[in-house]
Amino acid sequence: MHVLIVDDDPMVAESCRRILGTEAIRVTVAGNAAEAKAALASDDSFDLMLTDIKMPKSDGFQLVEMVRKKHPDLRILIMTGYLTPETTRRGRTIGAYGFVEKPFTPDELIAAVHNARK
Amino acid sequence: MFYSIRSKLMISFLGVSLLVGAVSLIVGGQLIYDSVVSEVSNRVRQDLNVARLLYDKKGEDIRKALETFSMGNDVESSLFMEEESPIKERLEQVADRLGLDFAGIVRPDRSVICRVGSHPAPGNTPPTENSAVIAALKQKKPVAGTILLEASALRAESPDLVRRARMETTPPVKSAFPAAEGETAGLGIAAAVPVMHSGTVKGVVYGGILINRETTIVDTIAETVFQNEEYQGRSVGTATIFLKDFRVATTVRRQDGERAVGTVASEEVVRRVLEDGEKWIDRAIVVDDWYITAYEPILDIFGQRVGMLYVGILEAQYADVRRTALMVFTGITLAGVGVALLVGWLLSDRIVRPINRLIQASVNVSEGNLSPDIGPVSKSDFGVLQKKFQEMMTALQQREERQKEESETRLIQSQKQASVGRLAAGVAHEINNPLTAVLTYTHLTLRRNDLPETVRADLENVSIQTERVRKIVKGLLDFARQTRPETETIHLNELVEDCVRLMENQALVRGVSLEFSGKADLPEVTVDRNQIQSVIINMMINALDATQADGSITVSTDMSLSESPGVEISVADTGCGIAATDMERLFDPFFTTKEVGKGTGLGLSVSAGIIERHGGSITVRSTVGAGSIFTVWLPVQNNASMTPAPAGKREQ
Repeated sequence: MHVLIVDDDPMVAESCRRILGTEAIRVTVAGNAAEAKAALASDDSFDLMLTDIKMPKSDGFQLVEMVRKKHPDLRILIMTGYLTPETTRRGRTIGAYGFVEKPFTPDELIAAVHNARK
Repeated sequence: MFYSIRSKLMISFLGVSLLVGAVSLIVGGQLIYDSVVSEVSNRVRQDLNVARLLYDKKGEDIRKALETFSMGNDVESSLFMEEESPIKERLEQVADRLGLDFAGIVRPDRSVICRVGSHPAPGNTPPTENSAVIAALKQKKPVAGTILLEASALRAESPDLVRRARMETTPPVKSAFPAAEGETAGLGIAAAVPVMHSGTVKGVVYGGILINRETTIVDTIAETVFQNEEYQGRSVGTATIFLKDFRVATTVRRQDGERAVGTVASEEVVRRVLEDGEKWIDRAIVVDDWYITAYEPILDIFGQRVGMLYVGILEAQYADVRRTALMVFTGITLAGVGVALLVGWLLSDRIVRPINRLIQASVNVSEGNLSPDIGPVSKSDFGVLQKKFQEMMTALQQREERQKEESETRLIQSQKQASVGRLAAGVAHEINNPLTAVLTYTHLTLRRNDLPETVRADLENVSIQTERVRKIVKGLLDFARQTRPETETIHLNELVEDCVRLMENQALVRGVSLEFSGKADLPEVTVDRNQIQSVIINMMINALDATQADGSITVSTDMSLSESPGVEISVADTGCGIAATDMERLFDPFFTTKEVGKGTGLGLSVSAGIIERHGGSITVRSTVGAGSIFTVWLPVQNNASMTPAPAGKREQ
């Protein structure tokens, strides 16, 4: 399994890599939308993308919208520290599979990722 | 304009005063005039009697004088003589003394023995046609009175008399008395005394006055009766003798100052007096002016109506009395109207002024000025309205102040919530990232089996405290989220009962009794079930935290007692109560009286936000040491679901 983590906070991205590493899940990290697009363009082995919303330049929603067009089969989880009904509504409209609320424990993240893969 | 109180009052006053004035003017003027006229009529009636006496006396005087004259021996002897002297001389003396216009002595065949005046010789003079002579011959006794002298009779007496008698009628009218053209009959006062000898009439002595153009009789009447009274240069009293219907001797003057002989009496008078033989006492036009007049017929010695005797008093002075009275009445009326207008104006001003002030005050009120000037409070019953208006203003002011305070409080509250919400969202978002890292590494480290026990214990503490931070941040975010209620219509009692059931175990553990009493037949409410549930549970947790073992918590529902329809949920505890200083900060975010770690201080502020968005309210009553009652009021007609969340609607 190959998961793309998109977050401008390296500590969050690193946390995700470490947690998913315990489950032998392959993780690629992108620090912003442009890197994420580049990673997706160069590698078609991704099963899942986890993306933050609040990022500099292009935000998570724009990234999700763009990725859904180019990679309709890729499942996407939105990671946010501030999950409001507006966020969920908009996320679902543009095709996000689910939501992960920060902060999370390793078990919560693992459960969410496995759930998205099924 | 005519519908205003002022104009109504003024018109009423004006109308009444005008009506009263006009009536008194007409009635009073007429009464005065009538009484004057009746007074004057009486006077004229008496004056006419006096005039009649004077008129009749003239004939009697002549008769007496002629009787005396005829007793002389020379009269009887002259009857048998052909020449007239010297008896004629004596007759002329008598005629002169009496002012006779004609006189003579005739034989029984009416041939003239002698005659006064410028005549040709006695033999050439025609026999007399004097009706007094005829009557004396017939009756064989002295006769005196009025006679009618035809033009021929006049001519027989003296050609001068014909000229004197002749008069133009002005305006020329067809007289009731026919006369030859250019000739006029005469009216005379005459007497005739028969000269008797051994039972037979031997002759007649006669004499008389031609009244036509005669002035002494009428002047004597006017002088005797009216004493030459004058009014504005005119004689007040007038006397006239009519031959038939036209004036032959009068004191009435025409405008040119000449005596108005030859003018004619009015038809009405003629009809009444000459034709019907009755007296006339009334107003009448005499020549040019109105007079109060008295007429009566003059009968000649045969009892025929041959003329009229008239006296009259100029009406002008009495008309002037009336005019003066009318002017006085008019003046009084006008003064009354003036006074009425003034009183009406002042009165209406008194009435209208406070009304206008109230109207102006109402305008001021509608413009937002709640303490308008309504002027001094009237002592009349209008004052009641003014007082009520003032009371209303006071009540309005109080209400507005209360509403202002409430809305200010609400504004401050929501501003506070909004700023806190923004702050919380920003902070939470930033904290969550490092928190993720802390949680991750703590948990991953705790998975290792080679950790020394002390390290594991410390790490577990880190994990627990991090969870605490996570909860606080979540509470902050819940507060900041302030989502819109997603409403459904529910039975409140069922919802509250669910909450009570959820809390039963906790209450049991703490040794606090938890009771619920729901009011039957509560109306349904339209609310966000989850949000209201969290509010109720939050209140119950607070109550539990405040209450010692053996205390009790009573949850109840009821119909609202406030003005708009609603329902109430009350949570009453027997706990420690709330200090007065804490009361005003009760709904502030992060305000808590609980021990560190037990509460975030967000529960009540979040609850207040929820209830506010439902259009409801939370109130607290508390006695320190005795307990608190939190009451949530919710409207039954739900119109609150659209109320936007003050701090919850936000992008990322």
